[in-house]
Amino acid sequence: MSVNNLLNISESGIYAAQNTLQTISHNIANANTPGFSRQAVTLLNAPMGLGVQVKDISRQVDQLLDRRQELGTAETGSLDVKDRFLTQIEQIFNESNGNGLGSRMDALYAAADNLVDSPTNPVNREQYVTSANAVAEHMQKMDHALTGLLTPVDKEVDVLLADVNNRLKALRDVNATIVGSNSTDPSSDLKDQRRQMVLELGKLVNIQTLDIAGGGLQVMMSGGQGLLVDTVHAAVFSRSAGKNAPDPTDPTKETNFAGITLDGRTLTRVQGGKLGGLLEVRDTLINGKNGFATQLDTLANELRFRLNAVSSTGVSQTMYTTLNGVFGLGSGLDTPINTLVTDAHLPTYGGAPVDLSRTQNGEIVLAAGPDTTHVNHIVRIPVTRDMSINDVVSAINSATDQDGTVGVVSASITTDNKLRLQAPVGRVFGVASDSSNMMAALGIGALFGGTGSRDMVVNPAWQEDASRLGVGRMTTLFGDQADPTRITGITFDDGNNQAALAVSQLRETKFTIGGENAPATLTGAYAALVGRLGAVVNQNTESMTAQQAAQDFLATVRQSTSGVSMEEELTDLLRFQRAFQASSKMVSVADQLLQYVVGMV
Amino acid sequence: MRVTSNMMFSAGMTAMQAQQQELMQSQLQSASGLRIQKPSDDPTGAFRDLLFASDLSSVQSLKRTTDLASQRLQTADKSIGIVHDSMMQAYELAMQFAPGTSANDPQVLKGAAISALAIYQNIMTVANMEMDGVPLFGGGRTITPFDGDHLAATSVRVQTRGTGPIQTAPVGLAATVDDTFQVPVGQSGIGTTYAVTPSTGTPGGYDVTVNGQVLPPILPSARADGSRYLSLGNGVTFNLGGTTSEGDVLSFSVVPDGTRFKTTQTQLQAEGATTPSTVNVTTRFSAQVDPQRKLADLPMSIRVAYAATAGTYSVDINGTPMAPLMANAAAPGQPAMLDLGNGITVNLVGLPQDGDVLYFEVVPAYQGGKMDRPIQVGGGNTLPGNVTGAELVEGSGTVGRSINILGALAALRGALLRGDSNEVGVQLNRLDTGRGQTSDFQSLTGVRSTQVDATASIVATDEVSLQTLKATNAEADMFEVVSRLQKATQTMQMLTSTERTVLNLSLLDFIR
Repeated sequence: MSVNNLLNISESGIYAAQNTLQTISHNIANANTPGFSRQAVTLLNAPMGLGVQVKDISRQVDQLLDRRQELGTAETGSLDVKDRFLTQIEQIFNESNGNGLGSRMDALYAAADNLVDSPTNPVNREQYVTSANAVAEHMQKMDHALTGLLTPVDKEVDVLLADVNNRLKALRDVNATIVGSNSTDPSSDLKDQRRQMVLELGKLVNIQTLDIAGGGLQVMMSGGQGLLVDTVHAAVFSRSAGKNAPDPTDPTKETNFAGITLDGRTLTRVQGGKLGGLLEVRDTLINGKNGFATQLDTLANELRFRLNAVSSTGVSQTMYTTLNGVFGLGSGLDTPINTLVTDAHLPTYGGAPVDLSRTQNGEIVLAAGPDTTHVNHIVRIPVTRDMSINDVVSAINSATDQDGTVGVVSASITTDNKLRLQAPVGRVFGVASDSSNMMAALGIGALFGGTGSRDMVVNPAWQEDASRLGVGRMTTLFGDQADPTRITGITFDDGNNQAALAVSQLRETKFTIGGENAPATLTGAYAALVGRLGAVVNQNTESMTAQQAAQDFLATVRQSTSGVSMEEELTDLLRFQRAFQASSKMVSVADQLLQYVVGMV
Repeated sequence: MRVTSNMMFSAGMTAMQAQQQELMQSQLQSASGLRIQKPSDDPTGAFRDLLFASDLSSVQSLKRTTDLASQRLQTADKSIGIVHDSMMQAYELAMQFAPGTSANDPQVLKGAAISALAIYQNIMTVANMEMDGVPLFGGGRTITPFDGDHLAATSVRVQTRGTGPIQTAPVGLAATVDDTFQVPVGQSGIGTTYAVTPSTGTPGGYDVTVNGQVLPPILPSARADGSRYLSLGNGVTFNLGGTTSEGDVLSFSVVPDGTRFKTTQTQLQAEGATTPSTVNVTTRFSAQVDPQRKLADLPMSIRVAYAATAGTYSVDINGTPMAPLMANAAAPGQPAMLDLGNGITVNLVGLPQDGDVLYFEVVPAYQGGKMDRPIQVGGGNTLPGNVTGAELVEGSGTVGRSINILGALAALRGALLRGDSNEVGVQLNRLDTGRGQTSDFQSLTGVRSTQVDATASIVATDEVSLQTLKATNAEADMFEVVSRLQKATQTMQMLTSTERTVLNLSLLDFIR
């Protein structure tokens, strides 16, 4: 062995120690860099006893662990988004301040109780109308708050898609660099960077990745659609021109939002990630068959119809000379009622009163007279669901009283397209009964107007003059033994409280609301709605907590493998510092030996 | 396992965040006193809380209305007691001046009319009493139940003289009418009145009057089965299936029945009594008053005496006689009618007998709500929450004795003003019945009040139960909150202390 060999070996030692110290320095510098994987220098003893050589500098990673972590990010992203919006939805339904919809409905019933106690008291009438207003306004407020979330959610989808597109492009570029790189050192850091990008992307959309030969990475959506299949093309998300996003809760329907396309192809279903979470909030939690806005709307429709059915046969102290319906009648005045579109959410909706769907074949009984104590004209009007609105108007106009007199009460359609009932000069009238629900559906004497929670209002006539509110009911007399169905008379006592009593009794009446299995009271249905919301929020929170715990665990395990330990690095620092010093000493010794040899010459 | 300082930092952060969440939860619960801040805190609890809140609101509302009804009924009970006492005073007054008593000087009687008027006015005041600005006996209406602007005439009572009281004739003495009946020319409406009496001029024959117009005597006819009848013409047949005596007056009317006609039940006025009969309500005569007419001397007691020989009616209003009147003949669509002026008329469906005296009064008509006002007591059930003036004063309803107590007092006053102790005497029975009516209503009101009180008591118990249930369900257990707060605080202190030690420890401190 020559002294030169000694120098060469020392040099390899110094070189190895320098490389290791550089790696330690790199590790320490990146100790807090997100996604950084600890690097380690692999040393190899050089053959023929010629020192040491650096085999490679490698990332300390567990591929399986990394993949598991990637897979969990989509769920985390989705749950985070849902949590953010569910918290807001929950606030809309929060009753803890005692001023929510439930409290307002209770106040309406309490006002009805006061009316029952003193039906002619003007303060009680005002209080009843004010309480009804509070319910209607709160319904609107809740609906606006709920549906008001839709636009920001949809805008966020746009922003998120742009973000995803940018990230995919960046990912494509990094991927191309890694594939084209021959050097191992930079690629380790690039791979960390790429992995971090994948993790960030995974929070936004639900993706799967696949390692390919040459260090490349393929990225696909969970449904298999390719996002990054080579190093050249990154897929592009965009929005459809039309509002054609499918309704995930009802395959036969489309939502009122633009769909999402991937490289021009429409995506029918997007799940997971922030994107999936946003779409779920928009199309399932707020809208959709069982969305909370839909459930609120269903409750509003039930409340409106039930109260209108009661108030449509209510009669004020002085009865009426004119009654205007509260609903617009739409464009299908000559269309049979049973074929009218009454779902205000459908694009084909033509403005017909939505409660016409609740009508049935039956009979309207109107009664009129010169004053409230002489109700001596009785008109019975059979109506069927195959009649049009104009047919109903004609039926009222052509109906005769018990003496064959026509025109006891006349019906017409006003210039603002509402039904109007009117008594001739010198007469007053009222609706004695209506087994068809037609009067309630057409808004005669109705308490609430509108087509749902979004536009629920109290009949403006009652707001202007609460004394016209129908609190009492007429009494229909039968008693003809030969014809028990014959109405022998109708009376009205203007101190009667029967209509108010019927409202009060609604509090304990159960209805099948929105296809629920078990009948419930109106307040019970609202309580169930709030309970369901709480359960959904709770479930999401628990899923999020569990998911976070799993992710934390995976992060901890990954730290165990790939994290930088300062103590470990500092120990290695000392070790390789000494190795460097020792190798340097060997150079010094070799130099002394060489000087000695040279001195011998 | 390889441990890095980042792992320790993360573990420390997670633990501290968990403790901070616990601290925040405890802070919120202690600040609001509520265990359920939002539905997700306990979805089932939030559902139950809303149901409890709704039930509680319902019960509180019922409590309020039953309390109001209870107060109203208790006040009504006391007020009806006053009316009852007043009626007792009126009865005692009538007793004091009835025939056979020492105080029957007409002048004294007229002086006593002031007392009768005072009793009447007292009852009017009570009947118009208000509670919280709402008439106590106004039904559901807020207008004054009784005032001088809305008048009504009471039913007419008749005191027959020289003949017996009117009674229902035996079954066999019945009239029939067939479809050939034609309403007498120029007449339609209430009815055509027939009077049949054994003829004194034509043996075996019968004198018949139609609407007071005398027909020639009619002899009975016999059917094949031997039954006898009178053919009165115009499709009317009178069956003589019973015995008639001289002086008997059999009367009936033919009245419309839809598009056809029918006969009313035959009334028999038998001859025999020579002293004045008791005063009975009759359907043969009815009095009307223009309801909007303003009359000065309210209440009015009107006495109409018939003198058959002159065919005149002597009218006395509140002790002031009017000039004798003749009845208007049956007008088209109307029976014979007596016009007393001031919008007061008397319909005469059938003629009175000589010496008959008709009595009726003009008093304020009830203007309040006619129906009992049901109040909600839960479970869809209702209870009457008031007593109406119609029930109490006019005697309508199922429990009443159909006495218009204002009318009874007006009649007493009228009798006193006329200084007629006999007339005062005939009011006794009516006043006593009126007193009984108020007594009945006081009992009824007491029953209603008790029912409402019982309901109010149940509702009050329900309220306490529901409040307890709601509190148990939604309110925070403060001991538990404070315990959790204490625990979280201690854990946090231990954690921060531990973290400081663990995370501060570094090899850097030992390397020079």
